[in-house]
Amino acid sequence: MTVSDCTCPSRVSVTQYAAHMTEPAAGLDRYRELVADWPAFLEACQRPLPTVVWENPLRRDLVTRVGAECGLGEAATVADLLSCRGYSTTALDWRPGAWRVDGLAKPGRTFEHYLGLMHVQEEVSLAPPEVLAARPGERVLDLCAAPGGKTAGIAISMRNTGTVIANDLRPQRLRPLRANCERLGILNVVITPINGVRFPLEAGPFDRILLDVPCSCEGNVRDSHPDARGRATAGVAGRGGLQATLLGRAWKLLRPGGVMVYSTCTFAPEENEVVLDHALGDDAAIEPFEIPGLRHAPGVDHWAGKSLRDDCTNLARYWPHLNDTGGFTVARIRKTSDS
Amino acid sequence: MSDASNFGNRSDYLQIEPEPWSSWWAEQYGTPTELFDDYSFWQRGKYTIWVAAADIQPGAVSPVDGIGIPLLRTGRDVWKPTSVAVIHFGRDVARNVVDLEADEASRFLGREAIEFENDARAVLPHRGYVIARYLGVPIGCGLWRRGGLASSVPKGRAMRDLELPRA
Ligand SMILES: C[S@@+](CC[C@H](N)C(=O)[O-])C[C@H]1O[C@@H](n2cnc3c(N)ncnc32)[C@H](O)[C@@H]1O
Repeated sequence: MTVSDCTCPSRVSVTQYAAHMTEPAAGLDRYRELVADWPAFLEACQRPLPTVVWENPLRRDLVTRVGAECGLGEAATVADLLSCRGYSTTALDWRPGAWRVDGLAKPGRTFEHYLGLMHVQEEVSLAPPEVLAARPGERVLDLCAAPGGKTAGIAISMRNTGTVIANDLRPQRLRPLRANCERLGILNVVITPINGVRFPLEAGPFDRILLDVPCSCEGNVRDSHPDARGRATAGVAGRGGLQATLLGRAWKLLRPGGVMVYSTCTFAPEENEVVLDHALGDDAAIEPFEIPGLRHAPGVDHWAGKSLRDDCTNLARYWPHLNDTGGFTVARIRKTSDS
Repeated sequence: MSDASNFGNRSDYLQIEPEPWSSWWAEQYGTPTELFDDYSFWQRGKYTIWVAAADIQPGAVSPVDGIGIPLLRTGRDVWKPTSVAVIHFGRDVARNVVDLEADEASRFLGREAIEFENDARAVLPHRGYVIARYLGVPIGCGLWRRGGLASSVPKGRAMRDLELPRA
């Protein structure tokens, strides 16, 4: 359950991996000029990630019943249910209904998880659905959706109405996507197994699109799962092409006036600002945004000697030390006219 | 426009009427007939009925791998609700429901059969797939067999020694 969302194929040898374990920030040196507090960044990269759970608003009545049966009163939350079994919980200040939980080694083996009363997700992964801000009744596409934590967040923000098409290319990733949606009681999701590069244009237009692309996963340096950490060193080269192609396709599927959120769990400008600079045209505006209580640093408007679109600075970089989370970047892009 | 009509024609999923499925549920579990008023019903293959948001629109996309949640499997003589549907739509059931103690719930979730031999719960006139409840909430269903419940928690979801809250 604490396994990272990312599935980028590992290209790391055992020795590289061993080196990575002792020096998690190896290879991250190239970002020194982008990080305001380098020692704090390195220090954060060495610490394991906190476990974060959020309560499923669609199951509020079930939480109430269990709370009442356990003598905790009807206002009890899943955090109260976990606390009364000895886990200490701390509410996130920026996101109501979500908590950091100490000592819960196997959150997937709890009654609360089985019943879909809660979901386990890396804290900063809760940001993209907030930034997308989908509304009830809309038509939304999540082009790279598995295993579906963000799909669930989007579907819930739409109050289980309208349509979310949750797509993923990889068959082995569709099973957890489906299992998560079913467990959480999500009824407004259609799951499709299509290569995003060829996603049918007739299925559009969409009011909003989340494009949470496959990436090199550097932001997972803190993930305790060996696979995720291994993947975190897999290198940034060669992914920008697929990312830009997916972005080009998604752009055609977005209605004029619609909003796209482009996100990665990696620091590399090659997979973020450079992709946006390459793939977006004049009909796109990268918009500034702020999630109160969640700190971010601005994006870059130049990299490797090249200058990039001015509005690339509106991209949000969530460095691990800013909020004690995994690393993440998020861009909110509006389509300003028909393309 | 090439794929636009695929969804309806080539039919991995077809939208269907709520009947007879919604009446069956109301009859089996004694729930209000309006329970499914605000949902749409879909069928994939012959035997699985899915339930989704009322206004869901797959649109021109094919193939589809899932829509909402599976509600019923109708392949056998006795229709079987899915455990995810029981948890979602089994909140206010009036019959064919059995309340379990902590140790029973734990075994049930590990797919073990629960016997009620010397137990008032065995006396009730249960039939078909009966909903198992713990702490007032539905946790799954099982086939009722003379005084006992065979757990139908799917293998992929079943867990022995699940950590349970206690009353
Ligand atoms: C970062 S992960 C998505 C995580 C997901 N959004 C979540 O929050 O659970 C990227 C996903 O993209 C999928 N993917 C890779 N190439 C793809 C393609 N060409 N089309 C669609 N999905 C693709 C991968 O299988 C992987 O599941």
